[in-house]
Amino acid sequence: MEPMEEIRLEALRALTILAVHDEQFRNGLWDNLEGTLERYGFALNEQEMVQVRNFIYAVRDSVDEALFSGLTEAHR
Amino acid sequence: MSEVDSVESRSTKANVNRRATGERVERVFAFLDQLILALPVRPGHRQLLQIHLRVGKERADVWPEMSSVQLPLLVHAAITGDERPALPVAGACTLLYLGADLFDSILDHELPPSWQARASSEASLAATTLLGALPQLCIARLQERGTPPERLWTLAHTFADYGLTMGAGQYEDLLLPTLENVSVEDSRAMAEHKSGAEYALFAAAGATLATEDRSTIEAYADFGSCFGIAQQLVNDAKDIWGEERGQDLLNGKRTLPVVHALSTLRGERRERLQQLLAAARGSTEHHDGVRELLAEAGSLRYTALIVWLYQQQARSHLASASPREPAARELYTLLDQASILPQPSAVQPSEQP
Repeated sequence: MEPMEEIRLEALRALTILAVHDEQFRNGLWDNLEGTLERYGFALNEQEMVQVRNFIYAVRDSVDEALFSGLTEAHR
Repeated sequence: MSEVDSVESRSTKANVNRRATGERVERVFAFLDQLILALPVRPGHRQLLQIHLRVGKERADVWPEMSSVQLPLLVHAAITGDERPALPVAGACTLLYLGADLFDSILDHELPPSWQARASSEASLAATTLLGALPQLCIARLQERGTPPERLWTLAHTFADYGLTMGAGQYEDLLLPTLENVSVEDSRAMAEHKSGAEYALFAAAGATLATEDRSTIEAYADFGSCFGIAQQLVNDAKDIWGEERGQDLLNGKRTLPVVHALSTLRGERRERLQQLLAAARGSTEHHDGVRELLAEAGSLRYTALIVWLYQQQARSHLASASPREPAARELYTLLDQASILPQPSAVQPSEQP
């Protein structure tokens, strides 16, 4: 597997700070990713955007539906 | 390269990595065995240290990626091309990890079976010796190998600085369950102080032995810190949802998923979660109810996001240090495992032609 292009550190730090401190921002990431990033002034390049989008979609598809329910159901 | 060749090459590299990872565990624990055997202490005291060394070795046999073993050696190799000189540093890191782990187990009432026939005062004595005396004795072994005194002093200072931060994180871990309101930032900061500092130490100690270049040491320390935070949050999620659940809900721990749910839910749902969290301290029968409300709040999904952001920051710090191969690939592989998303399935030995 070829190594992925890194997302710029300053962008990651800003995303982390907002995800920790701003509830509207973190809710917006799941509901309207592109619109939320734009509203908060992020200018990610295409490769960075692909990585963020891939992660958000992977979580939406696997954590909530498969992994999460699998983990909770398995122990009932 | 054909696809088949590529798969075979990846599989060979994975096997080489697995073997190298296991060999590091054997070398570090053999070094620690010898160190403890040579200590001028009574046999009973030595036996206490050996109990937890065995606990650590058994854990490392199951989880050879143990960061206190791998990070100092791999970071040293990533800078110099040779991991062998860092063996005493990996020994010191592993003793610190084992001592901190033993204290954590005492505080959380989660002592491993090997300790259950022993008094908790004996476990406390072992933890104190593992934390307070033995890492320094490991570092002193570097003197015999020609490490300059100023480098030894820098290493000793590094252990003291990060050890203090880890203590602060442990204090916050105890404090947060007693507070009325805990913010997501409080919980994140606790993970940074507790486990971020621990992994930062493991990486910085390997780097400090390898180079005097401050920017390289800082890049590896930042890599370790972000890696440690990500790993702590993965462990917090596993403690609630994983196959081998821990004691966090019983101990009333305010880990990130719990704090996120408390800050997201409103009104009657929040009150319900508070009631269930209080009841969950007395009995596991309320734990499913807690998990249901955490699901409603999207707390695992949120924890996965924060883990990913720290994992990506760690990647960025590691890339900035321009690590040498093959250690670089192994460091990236270790970091990739600190994730809540399902891992791509690895090629198992039995699946190979």
